[in-house]
Amino acid sequence: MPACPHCSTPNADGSKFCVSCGRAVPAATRTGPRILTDNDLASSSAGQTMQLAELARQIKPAINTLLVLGVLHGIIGAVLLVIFKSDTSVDPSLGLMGGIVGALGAIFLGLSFWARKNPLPASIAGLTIYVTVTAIDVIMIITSNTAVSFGGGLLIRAFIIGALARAVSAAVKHRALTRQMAQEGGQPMRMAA
Amino acid sequence: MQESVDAVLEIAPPARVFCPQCGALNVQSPCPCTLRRARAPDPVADTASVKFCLGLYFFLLAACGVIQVVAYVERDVTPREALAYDIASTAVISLTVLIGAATGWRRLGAALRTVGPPKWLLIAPLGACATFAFAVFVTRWFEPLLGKSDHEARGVLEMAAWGWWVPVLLVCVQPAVFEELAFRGLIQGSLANVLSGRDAVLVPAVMFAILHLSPLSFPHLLVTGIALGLLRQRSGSVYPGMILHFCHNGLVVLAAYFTGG
Repeated sequence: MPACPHCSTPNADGSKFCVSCGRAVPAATRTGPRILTDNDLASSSAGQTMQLAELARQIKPAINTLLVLGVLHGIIGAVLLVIFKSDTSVDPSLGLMGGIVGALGAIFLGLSFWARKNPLPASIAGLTIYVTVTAIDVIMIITSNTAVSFGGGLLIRAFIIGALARAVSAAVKHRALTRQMAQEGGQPMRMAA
Repeated sequence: MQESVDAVLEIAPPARVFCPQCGALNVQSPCPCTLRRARAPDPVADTASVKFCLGLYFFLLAACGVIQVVAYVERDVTPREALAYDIASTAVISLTVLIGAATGWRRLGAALRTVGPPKWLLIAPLGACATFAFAVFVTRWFEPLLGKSDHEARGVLEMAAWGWWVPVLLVCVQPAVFEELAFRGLIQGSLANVLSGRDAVLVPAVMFAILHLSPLSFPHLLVTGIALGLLRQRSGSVYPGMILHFCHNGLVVLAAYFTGG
């Protein structure tokens, strides 16, 4: 039960302020900076600003990845559609494939822009869509009996899935920290674009 | 002497009490800061909810992937073997959802214990008509690209060769119960703690649509998923969604009966 150094009133353990004079009880404060573990949220204004910036830094690769996926799928889809339109002898399924890939590009682009405003739902949706598309590709490779070596592709896919999963984890904390700052009456920092 | 004590009491200033946690003066008990701390965001619980959703989704995706590959490998089978395969794949999906429900029961319990306002139970069949009409519209829209496809109708009719209770059970009842338990019960129930109302409907709908592993069905499945999610959110129960899902798939079976035969 620490006594207040200003008025000597005894205070309950864990008190931060004296119940009698209202001044800070120094015994309750830590002497050094608080080290945040993985699931901690910063409590001071400066700490919250730094933590938000760090979380935004972790989310940014996923936003860029979704943007690149969107642009690449869009370009590939457009090329397939152009080939389909210009050459009547090609397989009709090429046009369908072009349409699907192009639509996927539009979805990834949309998710990229959504992730700038609201990273958590966009990164969850991006992760599930990308993993499912990868699963569909694997099923198609197995069922079409094509001897495709996608070792390099697998590494790139694993990198993309890792970036999206990391963004989901960071976005959960980003949202919790933003809510905490809003509850404390502060101005939460916007996601860095 | 008594008079002087009373005089002292009258002129004594009121007791000043400060909150030991936030230092606010003369606050009512309990201090509002206690309530704020109780409502404080909990990143550990939020992370657990998101991990649970993604884990369940990836288990279901793995099950669906294995089922698709096995269906391809074992494509030249007798009708009896095809029925056994359909029952086995349905059982695998159901078992996966049941394991998810057992591990995440507290996320599901509230939505199962309540039936919700009766109006949503009545709206559900009407919603099924709307989602089925949209599905027909999208399928017709894709017809020039793909040609007329009777794959789904043929599958239903093959099952119906063993009696109409087979497609009713495997196409209508099982998806209505287990897909709703998984997507609207477990996944949406968990994400509702983490995401805002609109996002908590949209993200499970995207998962529901893409898990069917059919890119061409994605648009109408997304719309159906949003309708099911809205029913779950507004009614607070999974039962109206189950009714909508049952009626929607029932219309698919009826369409196969009238057009595919």
